[in-house]
Amino acid sequence: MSSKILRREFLRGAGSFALAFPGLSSWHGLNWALPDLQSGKKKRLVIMFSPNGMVSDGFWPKTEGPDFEMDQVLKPLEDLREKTLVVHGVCNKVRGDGDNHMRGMSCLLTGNELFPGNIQGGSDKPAGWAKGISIDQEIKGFLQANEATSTRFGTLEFGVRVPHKADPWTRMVYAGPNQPLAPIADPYRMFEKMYGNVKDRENLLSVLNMVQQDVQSSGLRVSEQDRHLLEAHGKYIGQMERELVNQSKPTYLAAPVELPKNVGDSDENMPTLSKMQIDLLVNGFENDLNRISTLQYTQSVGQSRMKWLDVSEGHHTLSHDPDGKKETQDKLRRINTWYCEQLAYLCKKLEATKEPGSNESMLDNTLVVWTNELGHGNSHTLNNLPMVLVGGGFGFEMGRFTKVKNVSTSRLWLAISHAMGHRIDSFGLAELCKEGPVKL
Amino acid sequence: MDEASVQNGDEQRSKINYHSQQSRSVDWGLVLRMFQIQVHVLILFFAIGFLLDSSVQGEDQGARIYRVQCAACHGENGEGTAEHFPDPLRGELALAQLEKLIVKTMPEEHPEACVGDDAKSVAAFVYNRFYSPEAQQRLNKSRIELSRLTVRQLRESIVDLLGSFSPEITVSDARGLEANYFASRNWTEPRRLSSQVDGTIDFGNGVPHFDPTGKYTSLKKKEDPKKDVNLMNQGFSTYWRGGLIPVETGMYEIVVESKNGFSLAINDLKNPLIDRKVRSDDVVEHRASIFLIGGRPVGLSLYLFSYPQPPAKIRLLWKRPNGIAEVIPESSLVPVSPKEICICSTAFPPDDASYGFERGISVSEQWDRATTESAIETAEWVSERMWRLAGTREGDQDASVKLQDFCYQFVSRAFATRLGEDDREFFVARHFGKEISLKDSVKRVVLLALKSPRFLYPVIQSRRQSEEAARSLALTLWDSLPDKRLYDLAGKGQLENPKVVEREARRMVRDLRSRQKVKMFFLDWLKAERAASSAKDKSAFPEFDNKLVSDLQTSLLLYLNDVVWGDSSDYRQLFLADYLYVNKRMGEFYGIPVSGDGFDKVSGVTGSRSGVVTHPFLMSGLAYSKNSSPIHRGVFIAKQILGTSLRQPPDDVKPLTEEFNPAMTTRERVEHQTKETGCMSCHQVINPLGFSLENYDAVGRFRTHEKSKPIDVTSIYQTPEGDEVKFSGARDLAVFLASSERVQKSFIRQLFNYYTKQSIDAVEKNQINELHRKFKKSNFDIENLLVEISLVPMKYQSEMGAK
Repeated sequence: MSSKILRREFLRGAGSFALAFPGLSSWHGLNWALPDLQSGKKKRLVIMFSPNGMVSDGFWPKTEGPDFEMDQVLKPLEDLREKTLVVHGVCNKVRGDGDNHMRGMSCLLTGNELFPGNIQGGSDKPAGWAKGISIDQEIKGFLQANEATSTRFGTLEFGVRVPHKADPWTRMVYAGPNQPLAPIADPYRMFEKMYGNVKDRENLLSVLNMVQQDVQSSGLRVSEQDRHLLEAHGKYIGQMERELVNQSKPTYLAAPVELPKNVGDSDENMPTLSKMQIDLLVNGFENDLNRISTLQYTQSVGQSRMKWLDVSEGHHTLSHDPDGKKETQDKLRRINTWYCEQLAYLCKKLEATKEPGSNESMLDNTLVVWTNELGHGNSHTLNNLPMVLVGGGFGFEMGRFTKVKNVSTSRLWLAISHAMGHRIDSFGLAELCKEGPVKL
Repeated sequence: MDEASVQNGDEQRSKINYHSQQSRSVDWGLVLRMFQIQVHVLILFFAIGFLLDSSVQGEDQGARIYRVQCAACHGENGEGTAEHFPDPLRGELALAQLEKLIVKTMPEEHPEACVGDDAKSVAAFVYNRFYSPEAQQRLNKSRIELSRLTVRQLRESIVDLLGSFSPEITVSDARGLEANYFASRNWTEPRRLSSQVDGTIDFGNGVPHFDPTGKYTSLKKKEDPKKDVNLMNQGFSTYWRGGLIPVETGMYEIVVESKNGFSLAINDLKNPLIDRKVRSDDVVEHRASIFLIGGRPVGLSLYLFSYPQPPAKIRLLWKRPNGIAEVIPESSLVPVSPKEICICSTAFPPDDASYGFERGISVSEQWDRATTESAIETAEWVSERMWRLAGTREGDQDASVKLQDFCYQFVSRAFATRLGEDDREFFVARHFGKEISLKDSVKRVVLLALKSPRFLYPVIQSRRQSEEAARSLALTLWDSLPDKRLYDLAGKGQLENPKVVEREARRMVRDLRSRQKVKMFFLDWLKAERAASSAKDKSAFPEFDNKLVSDLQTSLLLYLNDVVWGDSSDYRQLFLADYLYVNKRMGEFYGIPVSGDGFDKVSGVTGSRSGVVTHPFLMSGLAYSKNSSPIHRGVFIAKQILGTSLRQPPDDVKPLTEEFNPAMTTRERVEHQTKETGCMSCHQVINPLGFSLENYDAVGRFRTHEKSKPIDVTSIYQTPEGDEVKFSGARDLAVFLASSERVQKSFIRQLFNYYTKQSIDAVEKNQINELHRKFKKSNFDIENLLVEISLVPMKYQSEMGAK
């Protein structure tokens, strides 16, 4: 509802009517896409999620430092090796109610426990939503509070094949305690959210001229005494038309993405949907609609069937098979390699995109984090979560594989938050932050 | 203008005018002031002149006297003069009363200058030329003005426009929600515990059929006697389904109180308004807001489950716009599920109500923007459902053709006519094309249609006679567009037959849409808004809270519902009914014993309640926080019921408070304060009406004493026709009002104006008498009167704006 109201804000013009909505004054309205006149580099963050744990063999490098191996799964990132940092040893140490998948998902970005609830996984105690805000939303709050870094949306939550149901296995982003945010898995809906007001404006403008004609011809049908009413009406329509024409002039920096038409929401279309969402994600950054995006593939315990990889079983089912089962391990490697390809496509697209008004690559001002709700699939461990960071300019030394020891997720989020300029001392459960941001 | 300044002005003027009299033989100094009893308490300045122009000598005596003695202050045609007396000379006194007044008070300061035949002839002249209502009507021939849809009409029209593409669901008189109970977490037939109708969802102490042990031994036998595994673990669930009928239009807050998992959907049943299937934390209260339209049922579904542990408790409440949080009452729940409706929630500037009823006679920039916003809102709604509405699917070969057909129907129905080929091209075809997506095409058609003056100003579109009848009926009775049935009849030309038109009017008048409009009229007529916000002195009336006020309003509406829609609909019962709807809270407060949980119809209540004028909702609304207010009550009856207009009271007069003289009763204070002649011109009308209701205190409780003195309810009221009526209490007043032709006509006038959004004075002069004759003939059947009113506007189509 509120986003619809925001979208129609353009109707209110600059007249007194707008004053009746002081709460909307922070919205950037028509100049949201104008170049950021403030000095200082933009900093952007993407958190990409894929489910069901990593397959250790074929993913983790053996050699620490710059000469790390890029085995089968990380191969797609080879070209970006210098900008890649693989971190081993980050653990989700949040305990309490809920099974590991649930906590893996809903505590991953929140570093907080789940409320007691009615959702039961396995034999663990039933649980509800997370008790706290997720790190992306936390940093958003910081960026939005400052005029130089605030954007129209702050964050956009992208999804690919996220099922239409809400439970702690499907939500990793939280606006606050008990406030899960649903990712938008339909690229057309995301487009609508990002550019809908532009479309509304176009549609409206296309008919106003005809409305005016209609008003004029109607005026001829009423008596002399009544004509003033239609004349006044016509005047207001003319006024709106002029306003819309004026508003259309400041265009966005990058044209909205042309999405392929009629792509349905199915596993077969997953590669296309993924590409569409990544294109929109980068497009949003180009137009500075937001500085932070999350990109969630399916859900914890997601069962996508990736037939294009010659895998017909559901992903979660496969992830339960023991390490010894070679065929399954091979399939899981193919699945995770495909996810890494998505990461690589995103990062390369960011690299190929120039920062508006400069020659810098967008990737240099962006940090992309790829992670998972479990460390290893079949053991359901929350330790040693896969953490692949790609990007530059955040002060981290990239181009290497590093091992840290038993570091809580919260300490990693603290480090990233500090790198984004938001210097908080604690995030999520305080006892998991005692040693401060992790040094990478 | 306050009295002091009027007097000073007079003195000054007197001096100057004496001077001119000496030089020009004009006695301008004889300026008198007079208060007129009725309408605007006119202060009449008469002037006396001796200079007779030859041109006036042949005129009628009254006109001549007026010209020389009165016109200087009152204007040539009684229109008033800015300098002396600006109020126009018009009112509702009978001729004899007017004459008496002139004899007594005019010309000001020299009333003896115009008496006898002079007074008689000048009174007749004034009366017939411009003073009387008939003369005013003749002079100001109000005209039927071009009107746009009011805000309510626009919202209603959008609902029906899109509703006409779905089969209509009839909502019967049955109330409550359909309920299905299961001894399992989901709908599982073999584990069904019950299917029933629940009046309200008010199960704070546990829902029916729930067994906290989860054993459900009764079921076990039915299902499989040998197997009793997992019975404890299957949980419990209830599905409530049906419809919700909002009481008024606006933003509602829906509150669900439950620690269980649940999911609540309203109107759009595919997307829950509150999704709490995940129980998280022991939050009990869950809230969401939704904009709803009064009298428009929307679907409601509520799924509750208890898993894995008890309890199973839930309450479903709402907070109406400006209302209090209360369990959604049974009267607002129905066991059938209505179709999803298109609700336009755009905020509009209020309509012009300066004539006492809302109508669309002006446009503003704000209004224009709001219509655009509502068109965009509707276009979004339509485009999200366009495949279903057009009966096609995305990707189908003929999708574009089907969508264009739908659009053609949409525009046709929006304009209440069948569009011709040119219009089809203009409004539909040219918006479809290769370069534009189907979704945007449909959006553009909707935008154009809903922004078109042919939609916004219903009379602009020219129509066939049958179509015009359909549109006129729907607009008058429903404030909306025709339904599918009317479109079909109109399409076949059957509404050219007046009998068919009347038959349809009789069908439509009983529809929910019509009932809502009737209800809104009554709330408007009885000025319920004021009563609904009445607050009382906490120490004097500690139990009089907003919950009670809400009950009082419900009680009034139930009663009005009886009067209008009951078996023997009789307008006179508005004044004469001797019963009251009472619930427990009201019963305790007013000392009326009741039995059930809901509202009981109680006759012979202490204090002989008599119709609307004694209803505690009105009596408490027309009162101060500690004391009754005979003035408010008298003014209300004079204006709203008797239909006379009173001048605004002087600004600087504050009602005397009790502290003025603690020994005085309310009536004594009012009498004391209004005894001046200047006050009495209005208060001789107001006071007797108000005093007759003094048996009802500030909260509408019956009393026989005030400050140990017996209440005096006797009064003498002088009708505008000059008759004296004696009242000794509310019943006398009620009997008088019920039988007064003046009150009947005032009721018809207000109903007509409210319904047609045009002044009855603008249509044929005899219309009100004609309606009154039929009203009387039908034994004052209100439903019948509504039908008669709904048949009037289509006769004046040619005058209503369009050429």
